[in-house]
Amino acid sequence: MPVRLQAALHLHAVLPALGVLAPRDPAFADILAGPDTAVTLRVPGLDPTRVQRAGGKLTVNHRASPGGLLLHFPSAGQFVRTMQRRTALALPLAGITALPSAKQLLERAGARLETVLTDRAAVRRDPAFARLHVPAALTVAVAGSAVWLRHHPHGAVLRDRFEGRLVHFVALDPEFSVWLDLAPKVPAWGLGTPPRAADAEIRFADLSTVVGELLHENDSLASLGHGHLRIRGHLPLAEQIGIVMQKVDHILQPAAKP
Amino acid sequence: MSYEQSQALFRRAAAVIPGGIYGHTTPAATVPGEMPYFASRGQGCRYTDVDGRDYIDFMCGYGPLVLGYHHPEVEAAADTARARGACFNHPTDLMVALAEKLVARVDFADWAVFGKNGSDLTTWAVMVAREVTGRPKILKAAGAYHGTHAWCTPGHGGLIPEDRAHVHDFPWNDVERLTRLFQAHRGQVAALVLTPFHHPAYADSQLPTPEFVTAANCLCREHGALLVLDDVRCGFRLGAGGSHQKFGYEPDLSIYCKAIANGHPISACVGKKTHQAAASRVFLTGSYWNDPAPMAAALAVLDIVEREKLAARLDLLGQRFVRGFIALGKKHGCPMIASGPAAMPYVRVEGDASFVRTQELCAAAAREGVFLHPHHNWFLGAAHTEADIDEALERIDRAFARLTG
Repeated sequence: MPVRLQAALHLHAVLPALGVLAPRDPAFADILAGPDTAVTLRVPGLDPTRVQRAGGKLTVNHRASPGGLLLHFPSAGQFVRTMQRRTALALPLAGITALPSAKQLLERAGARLETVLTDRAAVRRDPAFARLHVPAALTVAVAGSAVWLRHHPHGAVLRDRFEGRLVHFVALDPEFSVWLDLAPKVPAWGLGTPPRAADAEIRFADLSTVVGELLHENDSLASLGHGHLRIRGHLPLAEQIGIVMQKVDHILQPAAKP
Repeated sequence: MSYEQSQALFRRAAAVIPGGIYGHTTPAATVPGEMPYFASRGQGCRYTDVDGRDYIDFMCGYGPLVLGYHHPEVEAAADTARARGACFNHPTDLMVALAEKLVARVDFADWAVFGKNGSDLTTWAVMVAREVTGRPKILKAAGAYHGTHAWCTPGHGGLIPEDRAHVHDFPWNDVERLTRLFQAHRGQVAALVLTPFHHPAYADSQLPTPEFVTAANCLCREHGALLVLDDVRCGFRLGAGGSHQKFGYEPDLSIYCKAIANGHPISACVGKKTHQAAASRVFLTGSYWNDPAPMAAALAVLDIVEREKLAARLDLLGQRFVRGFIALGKKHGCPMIASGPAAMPYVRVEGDASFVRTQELCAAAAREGVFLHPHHNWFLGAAHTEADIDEALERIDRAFARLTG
């Protein structure tokens, strides 16, 4: 597994899920109540990611903005080690005074996100917890697919095959939607209504179906027949993106709790 | 419009069968909830679903029902054979008679073997090519369907990289890329596997260019590779002696299935004398492969195909249907695109890259009692009459009106 891909997945797919989870999850109330702070994570060869807490809100973007802590990782491997809570080298290049608050923000928010993404037993057992898992996990899956398609050696072949296509994932419970656009040179994703009509719309009619799909425990063909899962439009596109999402999950979730 | 019985039966199915319905007939591949899931009975070019709705059928069981449901001559032949018994300890004389019939019918064939599905024998033919040449590589067109075995399945589950390690794809009709593949794997190519024309799902069909056919023939000869023609879907629909004659292919092995026995389970592979010894070294069997009834049905079908000039008839019917369909599209301001031979056309809404409009049209046609597929080529059968085609077009006219009204 190319470590650069792993780093890109953490930087551009996992961390953005913080921005999705924070406003939905009551457990973030304490985290959001902390002082304004920001941290920019910089890895060579990859767009930086900035996590910011301001006015009780948490945002994640990939723009280089002044202010806050600038944390530089000398290599993708060092960043991945950090994300795996292993000893790693990170250099605070600016905003050193923000280090304590930024560190605390990343640690607390990161721990909660990890729990929501990986505690599969809780997802199965507790519908309220599952309704937090769905937007976070769907974001990671879709954003992760954009990252995989950009950085994996086989991504270019799939991008060529589905050039210009757009896939839209729609969950009805909890209400949440996210899209993946293969038209730009760098595959793009976003929340809510897509910028144009989707070539394939994948609609999950209920919580158990979307959870089953995200945990790869659903009989998808059966769900399609029942109508609990609907794919309108280009089925092979939906199928291929589903496979990419599974690959992303396998990269990110080796230690997921069963 | 609901499909209550289809849905109810599907709920039972999904409880005890992975996917509920799997493979090419899965509802997921059509328009789930908007088309029937289960059939009840059929006669001629029409069938009835479990909700009691009748359809004029343009899929013909995805190909096999080339003469229509319950063709009397074919059923009589199969019934007679069945009355003698099934699955003896030995083959019957019918197997020899069928092999003789195919050898007489197909111009390059010196021998024939039999299986149950196209996939069985296409994969066996690949093994024969490897046995003949002692080489590993297989070349095939990207997106072409050759069955469900690991080297060629369009599915994704259960595969390992080694399954495809010796399989290389090229774009259909791309002589340069095909030539480059032969050159890149010089001395390693066992077979070039082709369908007579390109009929991928979720795409328009493409006929072969004369340059491509010439290149396929020449490259196989030049490189000592076998040309394996997967004539499973087209065989005996486009010509009484196999589809290679229509397009000019010079195959070493050809596989037939769908149109050979009008729905009775049998497939066949024919080959040249020069490859017979190698073919006999590649183990081939199955529990039911000697069953005589499908062989009797195949003998009857092959007679009818020739006697009734089936290919010409299907071409005429197909042209009538496609012309009418295109005209309806114009009438309703919904331009259509047709591709593939008229006998097995694929017609879709123009400018519909996502297939959404085509799916809506096929769902509307189903509601009017015409079964079409939104993503797979269609099939004309000898049971269709001009009156059936015209009735289907009237119904499709109403479907267009629903769509555009």
